[in-house]
Amino acid sequence: MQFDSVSNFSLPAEVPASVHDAATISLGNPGRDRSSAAARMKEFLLRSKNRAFSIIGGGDERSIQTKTQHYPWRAICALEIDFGDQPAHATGWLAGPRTIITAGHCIYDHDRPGGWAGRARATPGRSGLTVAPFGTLESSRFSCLKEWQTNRTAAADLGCVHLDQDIGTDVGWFGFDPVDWGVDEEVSVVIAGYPIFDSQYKDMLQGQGPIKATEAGLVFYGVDTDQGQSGSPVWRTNSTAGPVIATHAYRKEDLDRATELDANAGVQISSEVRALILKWNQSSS
Amino acid sequence: MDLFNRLERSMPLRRETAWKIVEAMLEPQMLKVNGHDYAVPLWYTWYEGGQNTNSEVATQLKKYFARLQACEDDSTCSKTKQEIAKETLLDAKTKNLETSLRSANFDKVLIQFQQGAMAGNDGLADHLGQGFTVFSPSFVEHVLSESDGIASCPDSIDPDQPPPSASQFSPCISEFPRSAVMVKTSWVKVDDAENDGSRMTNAEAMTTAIRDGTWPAPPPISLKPNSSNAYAAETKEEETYVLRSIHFSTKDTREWIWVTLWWSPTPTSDFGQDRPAAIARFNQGVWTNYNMCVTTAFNEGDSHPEASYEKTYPSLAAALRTTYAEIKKQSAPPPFDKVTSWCSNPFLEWHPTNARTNCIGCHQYSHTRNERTKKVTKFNETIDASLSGFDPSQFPQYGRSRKRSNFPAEFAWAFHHEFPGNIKAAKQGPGENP
Repeated sequence: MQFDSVSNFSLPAEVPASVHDAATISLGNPGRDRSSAAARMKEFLLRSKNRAFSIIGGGDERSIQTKTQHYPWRAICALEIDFGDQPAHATGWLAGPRTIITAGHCIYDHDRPGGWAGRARATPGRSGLTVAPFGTLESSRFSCLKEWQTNRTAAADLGCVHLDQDIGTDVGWFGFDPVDWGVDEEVSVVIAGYPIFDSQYKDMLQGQGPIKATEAGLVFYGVDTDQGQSGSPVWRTNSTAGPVIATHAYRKEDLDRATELDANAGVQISSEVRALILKWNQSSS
Repeated sequence: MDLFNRLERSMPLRRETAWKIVEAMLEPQMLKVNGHDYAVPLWYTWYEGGQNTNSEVATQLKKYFARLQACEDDSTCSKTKQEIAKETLLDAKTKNLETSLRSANFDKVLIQFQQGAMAGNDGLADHLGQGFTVFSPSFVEHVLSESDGIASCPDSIDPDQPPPSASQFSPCISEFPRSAVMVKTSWVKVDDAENDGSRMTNAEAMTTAIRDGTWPAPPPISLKPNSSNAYAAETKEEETYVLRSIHFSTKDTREWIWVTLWWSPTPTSDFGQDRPAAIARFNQGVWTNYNMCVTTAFNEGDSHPEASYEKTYPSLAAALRTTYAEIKKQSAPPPFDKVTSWCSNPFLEWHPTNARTNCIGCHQYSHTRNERTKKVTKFNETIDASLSGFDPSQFPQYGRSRKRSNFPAEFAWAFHHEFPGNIKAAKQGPGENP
């Protein structure tokens, strides 16, 4: 698989990369009041096809993370992404002072005209009690893997929101590494993000569970997730805060192999993906 | 005379009150979707329970404990648990009905809901639904603030131990507020072999039901509930489910008022004969096919429950007269020799010997110890005399009589079966280092 990147903006000339612009999207009204049940219902109906929801097993094992103002959780961002109509909700994690990594489908949607999102609002460390402890940043600059844009390859479902100002210097950012483990080693991972929870996307939920398989650029894990958690960082439970080893992207129903394994899945941080993220960091600065 | 006593002594007042409760539970809540108005019954907008940790009640518990933890971590926070519980529910006050009604536990659509909005709509098919136990907002709020008491409540409290006070039945929690409601539903797929709606509750059937404890075999009637004559819902897989039964238990008295409805092939007879005309205004009139019984006390204080109905509702009178007469035959040694009440739902109380119960009698034993087995009481032990070695003092009158001085679970079986597990899971925060 090729790990070329594409973006919806022109990179500075000094950054070597294979990119091309996407068509711009006319924005709708991002200021729609979403507090009413009717508004949320319509949002849900329109967004249902973008769900990355999957509770593994009988019950939801996730917990609300209340320490979102502490590292590493404050390096996780609630994302609201405009595609010209109702905003979509997702999660992203800081990989540098100005670089938020998320799932490719969160900022490039093949089912929308032009594909690219119009604008994203990122709120690091958001919680149900403290809406924006570090403020909210906006951006209209995105990148994703070309393989995702061209062929919609699951293992290339990775994207980036490039910020215009530093936030990572305030909240920190995650390390990311292609960590290997022994064949017989049982590995558990943590996933934290902003799913729909009690009808809203303002609480960070965290769950953990075992890795079930690592294949073809994807990591399959038995961790509960829900709509809105696409783009969540995945890291091992044996570390306090990373490094991130995958970015959540799929529910078990989305991929045959995930269904077989009864697992959700994310894009693995391989050495190639790591190099790409470093390149995105450069693009952001 | 307080409401409890008045209801205990008057079947007409009891049934009149019950029908009013039914109307209140069915009161439509208007929901606007894509410019169209839908009417959702009030009870359907409440919080779904269940043992799953992704039930709506479990979600509120998670939020509550997160807020509690945040307050404990904040040295300036002086909020009480009640205040935090209230804040938690207030945060959910604009509950997304669409999400709620699309519960992952049981996705359904309301056919009456759809049909009512068909004129002028754009054909958008919504998939909405709720699950099996449902609780009102104030009930849920009370569970949150009393969660410590629920989680730590021993199941071995002596039945003769006096209650904590004249206003508190349970040694573990304060009583639920007046507005609290518990709901339980029973659905069946329209095409299922189990969809046999022909349960009779006339005088003849009641003789068998109470004498044998089991509902009599249905007559060869082919009538079945369907989407035209029952409250119905459709799943995403286009399977239609009909609501066969629904319980409403309201805290209008300290002992709760226990109302139950069941779909009936003879809705203008026996326990449906006195149905108010107002019931027809809900959901295209389907609720006119549900019959109703009600219990408000352990004992039947009206020695002639049929008297007021003889001329106006003779079929109802006959069923009530028979019921009373059969119950009266099943006395027990003192002090459990009073005539007890009856109310049982043929679809929800279908278990062996459950046809002759009265709701409140069995519910008194939630989260208690079976003196004979020395283990936690199972509900069927309270109603099936064979499980007690036919000892009438164990669960007198098939569980109908009041035996306990205290009620640890405040009459809620969910206190034992659902909430402890929900609370335990919700308390498990993610921690500093996962």
